[in-house]
Amino acid sequence: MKNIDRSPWLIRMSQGDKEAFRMVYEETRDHAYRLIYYLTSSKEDAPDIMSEVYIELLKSAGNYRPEQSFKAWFNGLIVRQVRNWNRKSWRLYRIVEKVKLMTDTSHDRASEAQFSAISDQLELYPILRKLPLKTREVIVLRYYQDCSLEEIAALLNIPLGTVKSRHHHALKQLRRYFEQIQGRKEQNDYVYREATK
Amino acid sequence: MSIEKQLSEAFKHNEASLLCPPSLDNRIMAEYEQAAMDKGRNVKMMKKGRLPKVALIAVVVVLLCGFAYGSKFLFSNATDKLSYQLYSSDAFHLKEETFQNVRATINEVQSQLAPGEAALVYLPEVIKDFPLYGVYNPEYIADKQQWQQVLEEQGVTEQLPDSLLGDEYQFEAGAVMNYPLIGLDQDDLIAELEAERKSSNNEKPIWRLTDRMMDSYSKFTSVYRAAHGNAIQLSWQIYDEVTKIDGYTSPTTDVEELNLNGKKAHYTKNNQSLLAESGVLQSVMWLAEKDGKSIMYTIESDSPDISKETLIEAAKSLP
Repeated sequence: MKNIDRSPWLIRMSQGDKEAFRMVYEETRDHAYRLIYYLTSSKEDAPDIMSEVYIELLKSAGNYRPEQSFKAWFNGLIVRQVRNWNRKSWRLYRIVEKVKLMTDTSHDRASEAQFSAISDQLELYPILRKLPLKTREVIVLRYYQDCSLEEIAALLNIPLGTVKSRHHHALKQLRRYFEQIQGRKEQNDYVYREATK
Repeated sequence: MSIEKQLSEAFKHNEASLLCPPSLDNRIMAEYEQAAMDKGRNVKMMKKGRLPKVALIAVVVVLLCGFAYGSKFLFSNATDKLSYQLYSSDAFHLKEETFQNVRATINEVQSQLAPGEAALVYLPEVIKDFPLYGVYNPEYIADKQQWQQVLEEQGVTEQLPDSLLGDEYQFEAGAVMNYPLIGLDQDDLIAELEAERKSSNNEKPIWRLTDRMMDSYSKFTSVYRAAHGNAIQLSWQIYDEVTKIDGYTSPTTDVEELNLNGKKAHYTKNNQSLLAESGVLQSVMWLAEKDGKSIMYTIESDSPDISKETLIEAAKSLP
């Protein structure tokens, strides 16, 4: 996402201008999808959370101030929607609403499933799944979005000390996990070499 | 390799392969339409009841260009429906030489526009991240009655004064001032203009005509001129929905709060106004509520000889 002024487009989309919404959506969708994908506990939920994010963007467009970084503001909105999604009652309610709204989603679902299958090949996903959501948020924002710890504290609205502590614990956990993977790889490699002697 | 570096590289590596499924596009567009319809209904319902104090729509009127970086609050003013804040930002401060070059470019483009035409001028030396600047050539109506009729059609119910400051400043003409819309879909245009700049060896301005305007935020301006050539502009901007405006200006702008016949008003003097003929724009601005609409009044002048006191007197003399 480029650092440009999106205010006129947010205003227009909040007034019901479909073309303005399409512009904003097309420019932000891949970024939003990746962030949701990394943050969510279940990757199958990513398309539904995407839809929640853009409905919330429509509702909140008037709160955006042009002197803010749009990326940071939008990241905050995404993080909040992922958290909301984890509340089961909310999720069920939205699913009922979606069934009413969508006439035929069978093709979409099939296509999304196919896309998820491609994404399954990524190695990051199982690594991130090892972390609780709160620490995962810090890791994703730090290493995917390249945010400083101060920026993460502001975005998540938590003290800097808490961010540092979550960051430290997450890295410790991931380090251990990487070592285990490395150990397994070396073991497999050894077995393979033994068998081909 | 450290765990931090491994993570950064893994995220970077995944970026190209992890894209939003195209099938989601139709679904999200359909949901947007539904939600926008619901939102429209809710806004209409709210209009029947008490209006919320919190602004619903953020409108950005950028005085110099379409950007706002780290900024400093200068002042605010509000009615029940309209709230206005002005900020200054270092991003709008240009070196004198750059300022003069940019003004010359804008003037050159403006002189090539037919009345009513608008253009986007490519000015990478001013705005690095998004180097487009909107320019408009207004279509003036010299007949006062005809102009008064246009104003009435637009909801200006007040009688247009024949003159300002006694008989010193006489009505010359009126025009609807429009702001060209600058936004997300201009990336291709920027690339095209940058390519043109690289291939061109001369100093000619690089620009394109545009017909995309911010129609909802037009400014209705009447020009009054004195025999010695100085001019004062009286403008109305009318808002019939709850609106929030954030304005941005150069950090060298002078600001003073005024009491204008009991109304709160603000005087500003911007020494780096790209659209003012002299480069300096003085303004007195105040807000009012009439017939359920909010009106922003401005008395402005870019004539270098007009004093702050004259401008304030002109504002006070209005009914």
